[in-house]
Amino acid sequence: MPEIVIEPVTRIEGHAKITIQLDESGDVTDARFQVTQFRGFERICQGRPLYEMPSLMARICGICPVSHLISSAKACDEILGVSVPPVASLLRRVMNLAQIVQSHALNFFYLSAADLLFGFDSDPARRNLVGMAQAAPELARDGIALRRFGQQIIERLGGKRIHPAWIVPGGVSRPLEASQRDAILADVPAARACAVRTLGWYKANIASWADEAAHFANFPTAYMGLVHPTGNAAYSDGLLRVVDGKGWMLANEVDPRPYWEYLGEAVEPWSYLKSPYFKPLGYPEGLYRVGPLARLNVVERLGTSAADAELAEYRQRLGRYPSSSFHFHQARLIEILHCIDMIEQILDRPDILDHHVRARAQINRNEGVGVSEAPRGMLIHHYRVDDDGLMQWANLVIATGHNNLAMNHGLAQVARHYVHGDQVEPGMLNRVEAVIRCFDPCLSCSTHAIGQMPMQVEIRAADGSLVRKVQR
Amino acid sequence: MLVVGYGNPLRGDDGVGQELALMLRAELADTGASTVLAHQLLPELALDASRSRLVVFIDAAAGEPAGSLSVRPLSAGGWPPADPPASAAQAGSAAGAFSHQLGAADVLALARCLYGGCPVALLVSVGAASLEPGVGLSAAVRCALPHAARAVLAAIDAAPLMSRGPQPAPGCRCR
Repeated sequence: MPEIVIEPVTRIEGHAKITIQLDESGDVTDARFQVTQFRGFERICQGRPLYEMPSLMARICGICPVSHLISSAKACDEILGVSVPPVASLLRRVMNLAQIVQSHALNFFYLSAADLLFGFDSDPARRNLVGMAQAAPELARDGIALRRFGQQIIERLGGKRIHPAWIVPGGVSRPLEASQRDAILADVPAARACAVRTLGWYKANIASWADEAAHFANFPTAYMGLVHPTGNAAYSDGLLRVVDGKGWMLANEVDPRPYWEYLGEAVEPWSYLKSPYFKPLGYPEGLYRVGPLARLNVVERLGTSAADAELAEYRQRLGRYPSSSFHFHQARLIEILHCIDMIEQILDRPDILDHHVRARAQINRNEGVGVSEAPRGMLIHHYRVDDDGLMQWANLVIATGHNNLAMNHGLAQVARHYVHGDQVEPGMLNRVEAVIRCFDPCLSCSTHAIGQMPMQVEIRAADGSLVRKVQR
Repeated sequence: MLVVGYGNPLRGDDGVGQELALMLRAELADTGASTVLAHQLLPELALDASRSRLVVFIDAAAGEPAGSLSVRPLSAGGWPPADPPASAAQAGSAAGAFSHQLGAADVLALARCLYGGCPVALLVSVGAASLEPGVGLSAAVRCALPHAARAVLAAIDAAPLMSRGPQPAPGCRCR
């Protein structure tokens, strides 16, 4: 059967290829998202001391290292058997929230907004960040400002923007200084204004994308995320909640750490990315989504007034449980606003400058699991160590991996709607890429298990001749 | 003044940008110059560049003799054009269309279009022996660093600085 191959997929984090399978009539029969890179941190860490794990694991990724720092540190906390000082937990949250702001800003403004601004069929020469800067400078400036806001918080807390070493087993390595707090708080109003402005722009233009919203991975799935016992969003510490597309609770306020009880991981031969599934529903029926869209579906509220007002408007227009992955974009913007306000709330606490920010201990357990919400969804680090604290085994369940099945289903759906073998236009293929961008996959993070080599994809006709290959 | 040393220190001589920038940081400590060490150029640098009168970009150069040095003026060039670009080349470097491959000229173009900043800029390129995974500079590049630092400082002293404040570029709808 003839195939269309898009390689590399552009404007995503990491390396992948998309293969679209056509039948003899040129109609799409299947589509796959194939991750072509292998990172292998689950193997690299073996034999290393436990205390190295947060910094080592942070180097999985340059976009979301803080997420790995937090989940890794929490796994280490469990192995040490410590209770992290309350202020340290709050400071970890601040860094996590800052990272969510800058990561969401990266996806929305740098990777996705050009499609939204110029249209999915527009000239690729213009449909990029540079073109956006010319056509919509305020939008570009707001994106840069939000990225800087998040990155500067990370730098102020951890000493550098990428791979900061501040989050450690037991807490954080040093307390917050008043000057740092004041500098961060001074930046909040401008950041909030950028977020509000962008949400206004997005809502004013949303009718333009109605067709894409209807067909971008729009199907019922379960949704998974962490919640606070109050029903508010929880990004650094929380309990597991899983709901189906109608809001029925499939799991509620469950300890997320024994993830093997509710998650299975399938390995497919055509990708280095594992395929987690919700065990009670089996494979592959147990596909679910994580990340901004899923989080807004599982929580009752976010917990800050402006973001909750936006959430109420979002639900009024789209329904209580929006199913189209296109709405990841708006969910991301609402989360940016929420995170900014939460950062301010936490830093306004009178105890935030407390000096007791780290608990210390030796190895007290041989196994630990750390779970947090990364920008892209739930992130799980599971470690086993020997009595000397040397790593024996690690399993990482990455946010992007959680969404693998949904991405592939979504890919097939959008390809069937937009791609027809005898009339393949660049805008069609851009939409195929764009549905992947909705999920904001981070492929550097997500490929650590040793699997089989992806299939060698060739576009061939029935007689074996090469039909077509698309490369960007 | 802003000094931007960029490149990946885990890829051999690709780390020369950051290393040379660190040397210059010490030399320029009394001038109030800011130094940025980065794996790659990102759009966020446009704001910092727009606020500077002089920006020095430092990077490794593949395909050049190891340890060789090039210091040349850099501009945003003919970007942005008055009309929407007909091609990626006209919009700036084709690579600049993607944030992962933003060039120094693209940063300057963003500084001008978004913030009305038009700093004088220098591009410093140090020839690399190897860009393969590995920590540490090659002997040839490491030996060339002191000369490179002196040459860059001389170029900074000779650079013609702006005599007027930042102005928005024509055709840009800047605030």
